Amino acid sequence: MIKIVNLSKTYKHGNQNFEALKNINLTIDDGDIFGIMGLSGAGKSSLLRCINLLEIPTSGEVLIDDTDITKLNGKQLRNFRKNIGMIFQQFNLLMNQTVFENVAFPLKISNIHKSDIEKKVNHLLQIVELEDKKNSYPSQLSGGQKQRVAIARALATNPKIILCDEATSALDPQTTQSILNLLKSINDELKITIIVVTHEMSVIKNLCKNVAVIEDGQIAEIGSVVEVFSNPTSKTSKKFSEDIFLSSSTKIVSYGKLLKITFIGDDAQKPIISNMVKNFNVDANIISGNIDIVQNTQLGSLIINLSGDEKEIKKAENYLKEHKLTVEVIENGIC
Amino acid sequence: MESANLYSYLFDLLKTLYPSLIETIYMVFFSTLFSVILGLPLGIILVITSKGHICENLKVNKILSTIVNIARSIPFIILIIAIFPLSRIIVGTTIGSTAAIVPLSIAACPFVARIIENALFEVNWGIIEASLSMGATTLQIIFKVMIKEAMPSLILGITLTIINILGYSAMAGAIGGGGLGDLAIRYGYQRFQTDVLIATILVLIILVEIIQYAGNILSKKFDKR
Ligand SMILES: Nc1ncnc2c1ncn2[C@@H]1O[C@H](COP(=O)(O)OP(=O)(O)OP(=O)(O)O)[C@@H](O)[C@H]1O
Ligand SMILES: [Mg+2]
Repeated sequence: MIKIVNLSKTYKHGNQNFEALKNINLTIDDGDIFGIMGLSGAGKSSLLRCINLLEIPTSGEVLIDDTDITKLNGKQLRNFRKNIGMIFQQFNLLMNQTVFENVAFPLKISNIHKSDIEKKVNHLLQIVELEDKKNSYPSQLSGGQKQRVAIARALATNPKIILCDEATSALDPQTTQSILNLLKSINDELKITIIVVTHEMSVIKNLCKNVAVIEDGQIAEIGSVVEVFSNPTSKTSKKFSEDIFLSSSTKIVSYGKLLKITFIGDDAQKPIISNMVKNFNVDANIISGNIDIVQNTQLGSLIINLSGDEKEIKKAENYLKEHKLTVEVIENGIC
Repeated sequence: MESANLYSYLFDLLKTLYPSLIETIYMVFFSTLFSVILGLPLGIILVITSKGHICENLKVNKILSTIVNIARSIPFIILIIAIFPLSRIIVGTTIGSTAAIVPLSIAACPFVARIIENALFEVNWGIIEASLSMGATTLQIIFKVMIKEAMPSLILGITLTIINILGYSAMAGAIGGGGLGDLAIRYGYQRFQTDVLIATILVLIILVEIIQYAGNILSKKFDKR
């Protein structure tokens, strides 16, 4: 368990002080995927870097499994850091060394036997699906592959915690998704606690279980992702929540049929949904809805949950399609 | 001139040049070696004690930096004359190539320190930070991260050092250090044998070309960026 108690961080610039973190209190349970989100300059990275003391807190405690790591001496801290992996936006790989040597680095500096290193690194490269790139140099890899190397390297010392600072911000959406899936499976299978700093909503909604929203160096909101974004109260979470429930990958209900309906232009004003409910024996539960103006055209999207008789649902669906609406089945809880 | 004569003329010229060439190579090799042995730790300390680096110590940094700057601002010829007495203490003589190695190494040392400092500063801070997060010690970061990552630049820097020392060695030759510089002065300047002077210059040009070429190739070999 990670417990941050009354943590503050003040940066000194000459005789100017800047209070980047103000009295942060936070608990992260083992096995969690915890998101730290906020706008640029909010203090996300500062907070994350206090967890492995890359940044020394000005005051407060960082308790990891009841050890206050701010009290450790140099050697103890170095050993402790081997329990905490870290991955970065810019990958930070050794450019003049091969993929193998990069992943082996944390093991080499721990004086682990050569044959054990070889075995471990090969296993890790298998996990991140890069066995065939073993002898390549980072410059020969794509961004996603580089981040996979960084993840393998972070896993090398069997850490209990992995810290990610904008780990997917330099990647395209598809590659982001594959990295998120990898992180999810690491959390799932290896039971590693993952803490991610991000300003991307897709990371929060696809990866995190819990989230803290940071505003001006303070925690503005904290709780489970669904809690925070179903009832956003801070400026930041309101801004970020705009698109959350419109994503096709959000799991909201597990019964009935979940449909995403997209309508364009004048259709946005017609009472198609209420007509559908009147005409067919189904219940429609509106989960979320949104109308945007995109290039002078109204673009609406609605997520509804249909329940009732399977045949009636089918008919209702066809009714919607007849009215030239785009209907996408997000989840079919019937079968 | 008959071709047989031409050959024997060139042969004589080479015979005159050869011992000086060997002396020059001897001086340059050992001066580079010692200046790197002295300058490398200096360069490393200049980097790691700088602001925000892994062993920040601004006082040490300022002192070393000032010494290096002062040493670099003294003209080489004056430095040699000032240091020559030291050669007697270290190698027992102030005459000859061996004696010249002492002032050459010392004169090149601050230059090497700056070259190495520049190369090591080029190493991406993110990589050093990643190493810190993995629990690397200061020595591990210096030798397994910074030096390895900076290798291509370090090699180019040392190549530049060798070429500089080659130039310095010619000056050292003028005050009794032997080598190609000494030869050029004795034959070219004092005896007006222009052909020997020209031949010396040609040999120096070829030497510089070879050193630079080898340095470039070696640096590329280490560069996987
Ligand atoms: N080393 C430093 N010295 C001085 N000020 C700093 C330092 N590091 C961060 N800051 C300041 O602290 C504040 C928080 O920075 P931090 O990097 O934690 O923000 P962030 O939320 O991670 O932002 P971003 O999304 O842009 O990465 C910023 O205003 C920044 O200018
Ligand atoms: Mg940041």
